[in-house]
Amino acid sequence: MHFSIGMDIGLVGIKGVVMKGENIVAQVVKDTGVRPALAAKECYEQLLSDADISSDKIQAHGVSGWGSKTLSFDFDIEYLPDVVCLAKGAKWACPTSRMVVDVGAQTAKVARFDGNGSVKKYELSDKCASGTGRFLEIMSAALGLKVNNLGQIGQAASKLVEISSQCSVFAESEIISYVNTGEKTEDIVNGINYSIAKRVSTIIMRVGIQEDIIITGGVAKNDAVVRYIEEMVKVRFKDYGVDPQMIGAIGASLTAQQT
Amino acid sequence: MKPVPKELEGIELFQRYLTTFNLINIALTNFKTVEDLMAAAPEILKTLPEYDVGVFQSLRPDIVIAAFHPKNRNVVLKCAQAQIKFWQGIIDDIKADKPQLDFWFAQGPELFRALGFSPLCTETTLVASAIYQDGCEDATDLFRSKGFADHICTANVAYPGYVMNGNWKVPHVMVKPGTPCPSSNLAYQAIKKWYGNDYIMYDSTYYLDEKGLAHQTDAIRRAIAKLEKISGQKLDEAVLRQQMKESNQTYALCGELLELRKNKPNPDPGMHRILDLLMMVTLLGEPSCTEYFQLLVDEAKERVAKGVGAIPEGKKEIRALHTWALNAYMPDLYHWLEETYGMTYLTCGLSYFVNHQVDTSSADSMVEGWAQRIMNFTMERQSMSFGDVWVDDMFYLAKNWDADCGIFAGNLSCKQGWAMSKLLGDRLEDELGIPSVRFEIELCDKRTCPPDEFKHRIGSFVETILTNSKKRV
Amino acid sequence: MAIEELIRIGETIYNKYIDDWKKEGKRVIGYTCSYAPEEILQAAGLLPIRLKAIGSSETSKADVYMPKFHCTFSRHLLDQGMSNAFDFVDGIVFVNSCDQLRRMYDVWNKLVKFPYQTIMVMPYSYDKEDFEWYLEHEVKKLKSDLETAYGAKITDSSLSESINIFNETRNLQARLYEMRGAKEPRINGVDTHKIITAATSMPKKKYNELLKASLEELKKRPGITDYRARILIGGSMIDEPELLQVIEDAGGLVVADVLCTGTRWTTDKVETDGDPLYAIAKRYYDHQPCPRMTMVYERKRDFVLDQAKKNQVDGAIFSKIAFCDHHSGDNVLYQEDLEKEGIPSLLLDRDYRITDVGRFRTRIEAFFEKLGK
Repeated sequence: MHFSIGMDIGLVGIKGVVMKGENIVAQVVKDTGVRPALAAKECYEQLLSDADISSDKIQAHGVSGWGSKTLSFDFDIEYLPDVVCLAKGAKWACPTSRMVVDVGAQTAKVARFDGNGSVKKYELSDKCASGTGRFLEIMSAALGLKVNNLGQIGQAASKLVEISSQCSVFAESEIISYVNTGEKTEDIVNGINYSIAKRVSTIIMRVGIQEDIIITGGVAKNDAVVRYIEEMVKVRFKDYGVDPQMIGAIGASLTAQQT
Repeated sequence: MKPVPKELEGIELFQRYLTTFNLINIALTNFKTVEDLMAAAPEILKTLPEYDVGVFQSLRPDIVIAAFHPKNRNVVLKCAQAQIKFWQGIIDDIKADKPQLDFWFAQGPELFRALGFSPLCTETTLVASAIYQDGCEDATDLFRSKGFADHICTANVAYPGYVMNGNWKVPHVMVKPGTPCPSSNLAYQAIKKWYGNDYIMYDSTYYLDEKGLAHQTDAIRRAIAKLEKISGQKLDEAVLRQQMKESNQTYALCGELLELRKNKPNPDPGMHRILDLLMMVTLLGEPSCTEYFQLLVDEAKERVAKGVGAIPEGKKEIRALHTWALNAYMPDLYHWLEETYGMTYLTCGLSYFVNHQVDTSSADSMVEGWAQRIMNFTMERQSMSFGDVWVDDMFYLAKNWDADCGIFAGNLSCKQGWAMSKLLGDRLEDELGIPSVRFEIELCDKRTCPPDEFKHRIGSFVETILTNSKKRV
Repeated sequence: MAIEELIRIGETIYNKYIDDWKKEGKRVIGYTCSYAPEEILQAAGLLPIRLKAIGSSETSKADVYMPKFHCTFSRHLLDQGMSNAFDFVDGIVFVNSCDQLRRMYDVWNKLVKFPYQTIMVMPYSYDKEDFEWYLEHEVKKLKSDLETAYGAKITDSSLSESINIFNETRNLQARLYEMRGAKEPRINGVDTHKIITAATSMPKKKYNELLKASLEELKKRPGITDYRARILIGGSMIDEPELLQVIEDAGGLVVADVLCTGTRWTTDKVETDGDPLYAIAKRYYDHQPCPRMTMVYERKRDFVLDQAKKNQVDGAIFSKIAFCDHHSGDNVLYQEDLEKEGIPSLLLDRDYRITDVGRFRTRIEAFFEKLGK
């Protein structure tokens, strides 16, 4: 069995895995920060140390994500298309899946793939922040909340404050208006979760809905958003026992192995 | 925006174009490779006037490199030589105070020549976008700085920017059909308000049938009468006939070229599509335009005979239909796609010229033929009418030219194109099994989708869907 | 009270008047633009209702087909269509108003089916031959298509009757506008807008009765004197007057407008002598133009200046729905020309519906400061 490393360089986090064949040996998440190259290097070193192996044992390196092409490494590496990795990782995490919805900080991606994990169709979010993790970041900052808590807070809501602004700049001032008019925080958060779920559902509908679907990326940890998307597109996401934000890195590792 | 020196008032952009095409001519005539050119450049630059040196240094290296490629150079040279004459002519006409007519692109200049005007297409600003490192964003921004929205088509608002700054002389008259588009309509409206020049808009037909043709012809006849008053000259039937006979030949070659692209691999390099458009809007009706397309046809035929295409030999071809249009700020992208992915360019919404032969027997028949061409001019046809026309045309092209994929790199400001993009993509996928990618660009503004992002968008699409394999960088 | 009733109706897309009409077994027809010749629709025995996306809070169904940078009015309308919000109508007349609305029709035509739906083509130029073409190919065609679709006979007398009712509506609305534009207006901009909008949501005959009564009621009201600034509004169409509300909450008073859903809809009347179909076509072709008509800037400008002066406004607020090209083109030029007359203007971008009130309040209050009010 060979070792391989996969890294997914996101806008907010760098996700890395060491795999031995199809099994995860170590996984690391680091903040991307303002110096992605340094963070990526640290992530790589920590992966080796956590897996307790030396770099010469690694047979393949796969890197994907928005920042991947801006980085240089001192070893031979495969730059892989994000969606290819996502599909491969989804297939690995849930072998029956044929569709993956990934909501990351910068982009939301939806892909349909076949039994080999080959992508047949995909769509990305529009070139604006609405419908991405970034939208949640901006909104949580405006409310002085931690983005990771939005799911939980929203589920305590007693009503839905609808955010109807189309642009995240307009939306930010809209939620401030709601704060000023005395709406409860949880109800506004509920509206924010609902709003992003709508945007993501739209992209899913653009690709065309498919059973056997999974959701990945940081936003997949927000249960409220996930439940709303399920209601809107009328499917249930399949469970898989892996950290949802690691799927891209896992896919990168597996794809690199196949070269 | 840089102030215009007094001696170049009203002609700065045209002088810059003239100098640019002259430099291209010198470079491609005297040097085999771009390396040869760069080696000799320091010496040559010493002999050139300061102005020319500045122009040389402002060129985008990528387009110069692409122009030197063996498959591109002859055609680029042919185009440059024709453009030298054209821009010299424009400058001379302005200096002689010949009635200047600025027109929106989806019209042939033949008719305007026969009316005694010096016709100048306002979308030739795309040359600046394509060739100079700074593009035409400064002109676009100047117009927008008045308060106009940032989502107005950049192929239409660099023009008023150049006029405002004095790089482009205020014309005697501007002419355009009513649709499309809002961007050009509002740009022309603003110019007319500020400078008081004449502005003639004739109605465009919404219907592409016989009745539509009658309406279009009638609308153009009325525009002719108004233009005659402005130029003080009646429509010269002999000039029109000579122009239309020439453009008939050009159109026949356009049709032949489009047919040749059905060959596998496609023998016609994609970077030339922007040149096609430029030649059509500047020189249609003149022999140089016919000669340009003749060269394209000859080169394509030669490649077909040899069994080669516009892609490196041995590379698997990916046949791309550009279902919106091309980008102007990086036409060398299409060369890069050929070299990198073997992706050839079938056609697009700005280079799909349908061969329509005009009956030159009478003035009436020629005006009707000109109207017929307007109705079917690339993009005009697809955007002035029902959305189905766009979808049907692209579907027809994808099917008959055997496209492998659709690339909708859509102009952000072209909302009417975008509105059809999903239905178009679905139809290509459902009925032909052809995948599509859609993303936002701005025709003459690299800031919306910078070159690297553009390459990345198409590259990822190729690697994700079309080849399902990856590329070692 | 008639006023309250009209204000209430102005906030609805469906109401008891439409319901009563339908209960009588009569048909309703929707339209999307002030360029749709309503008089003809009514002469066919139909109740013309302007389609509004009132209450629409999202566009996710429409967004599957249309990008984020397509105007939100089009997307809300399509979304409402896809959500069956307009199922009470029996047909729809669209207009090639602008690229965004005409393409919305193209998409709608694939996704939402009504027994009768059509798009009317309005030329962009003003030659008399263009008008003749419009009359011949669009207006007469609409008439015969309606007759076929609904088995109705549109006669000269039914057209004339329709014209008279509409002209009365426009006369009464002109009186309402006069009251709004008075030195001490008896009604504010928000209520006026709702009352004007109500005309597009109910039978005109009934509307005229209620408006007549409302005008009488208004006469008894005291004039409004405690306002900071007299404001003209213009730009993209407005259904729900949230923007006017923000202006008036901030102490301003909207005393004039140049909206297609306001003054521009109500200003021009149909000639009553001669062929009625011709007269209707002429009115729609020639009425105070939309920014899409770029050949007649002077006419559009004169109208704006005229409204501003007649109503003695202190400032003008032009808003456009984000990504609207046409209004972007005009608003800037109006600003230039008003400034020459010493009337400052504020340009704003908004969605079809305004929900981020705070952002607008801040800017509008700053504008009032600038006016020295």
